[in-house]
Amino acid sequence: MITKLCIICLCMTSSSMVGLIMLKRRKNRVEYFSSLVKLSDKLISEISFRKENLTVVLKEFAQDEKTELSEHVKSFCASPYEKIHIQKGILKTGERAAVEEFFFSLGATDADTQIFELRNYGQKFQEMYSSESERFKKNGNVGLKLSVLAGLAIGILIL
Amino acid sequence: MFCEVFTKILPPDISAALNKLNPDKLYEVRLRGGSFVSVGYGDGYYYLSQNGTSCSIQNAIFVNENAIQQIVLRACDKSLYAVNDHICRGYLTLDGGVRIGIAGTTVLENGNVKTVKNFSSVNIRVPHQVVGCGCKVAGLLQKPSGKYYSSLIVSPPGAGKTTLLRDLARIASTGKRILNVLIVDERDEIAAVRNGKATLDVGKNSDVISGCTKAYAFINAVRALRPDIIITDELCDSEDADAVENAIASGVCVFASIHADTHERISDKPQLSRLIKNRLFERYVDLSCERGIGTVSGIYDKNFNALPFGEPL
Repeated sequence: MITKLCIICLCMTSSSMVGLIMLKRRKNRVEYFSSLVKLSDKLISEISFRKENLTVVLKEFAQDEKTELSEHVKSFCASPYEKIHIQKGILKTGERAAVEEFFFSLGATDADTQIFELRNYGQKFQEMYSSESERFKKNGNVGLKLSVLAGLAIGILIL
Repeated sequence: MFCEVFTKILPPDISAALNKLNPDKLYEVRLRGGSFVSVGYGDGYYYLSQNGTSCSIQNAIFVNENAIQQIVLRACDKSLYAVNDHICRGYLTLDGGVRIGIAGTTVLENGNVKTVKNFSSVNIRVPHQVVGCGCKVAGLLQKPSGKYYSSLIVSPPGAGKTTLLRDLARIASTGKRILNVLIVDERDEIAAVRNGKATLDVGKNSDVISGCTKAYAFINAVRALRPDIIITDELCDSEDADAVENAIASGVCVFASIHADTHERISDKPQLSRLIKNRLFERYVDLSCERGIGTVSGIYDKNFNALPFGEPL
């Protein structure tokens, strides 16, 4: 009996872990897009008023940033003249391309054009954030519950 | 300092070739997209080759349009928006007073240059601070009281007027008698301010206003900074003439420079001729390249009488 209970608990724990990982991944995506929107806004205000060098602004941003975006910002600052290559992670292929393009476009035009471009990117990232955030709210907890139930079901099936 | 700048902004083959040259002789590097790199070196222009300078185009280093674009982006730390005003005026200033003249396609908006795109060539000018080059001249520009006469340095381009002005600023602001010198550095040539700091020696009691028009700087400076001497480069239009006229009328001594062959030719410039007519400047220093860059070919008083200073300096 104890063995059976242990098997069920084990299945439930592992499936819960998978559920939690999925949940965290979704949460990270939401936070990543939210940070991208914040970065676009910060760049717009810095370029409009302070006109500080790009790397200075980005480093300031990366200091307080805890998402994966801070790594991408650091890798851009290390070689700002090359197109950064984002590793496969929480972003999908199209999203990665958009972020790579975003970084590549920085600092290469006058203020008006740059602000115009940043607004467009900001809008795009805002849309990504809204849809991801909505999906997270809708499916986030349900996914976790389902994974726990799935673990239970698998355990029962095994027995 | 120049080596660091070259390494930072230029393609590796070009900066390696430049590092082989004598920095004291190098004064210009010209890069044109789709053409060969040339350098102003010693007594003239040469092509740049992997081994140094060359008179033949065969060994010269080639540079393409994309490299010019990259050079400009590197020169502004990939922050073109931060230096767009300078780019619209055709130049950028880097560490150590290195200046980059930029050519490209201008984008106009309401008749004004909004930005420059498709950069096609750059001319990198390497400044040479010649400490002490103004010592002999300064003696003739000084009144017995220790104050200075308002003076105009007249020279064709590339004859060393900015170098002389810089040294005069250093001398005037480090003399026994403390004089407050204000440098109005519209094009960042005299003090080469970078991130708020003068990168060239302009003396101990000098203030620098850079990157703004002479009219703005003169009006605000006379009110706020109370300078004894204002030093500025390249007077070119009637607004500049107004600014100088106001400053001198306010009792401030002005050292300025102007592009002309000799002081006699200044009256050919209609927008500036009144400065001469009204005898605003009390000393004129003619520079030429007769015996090398920075040759002082004559110093004159306000009535254009030559002042004795011996052999050309």
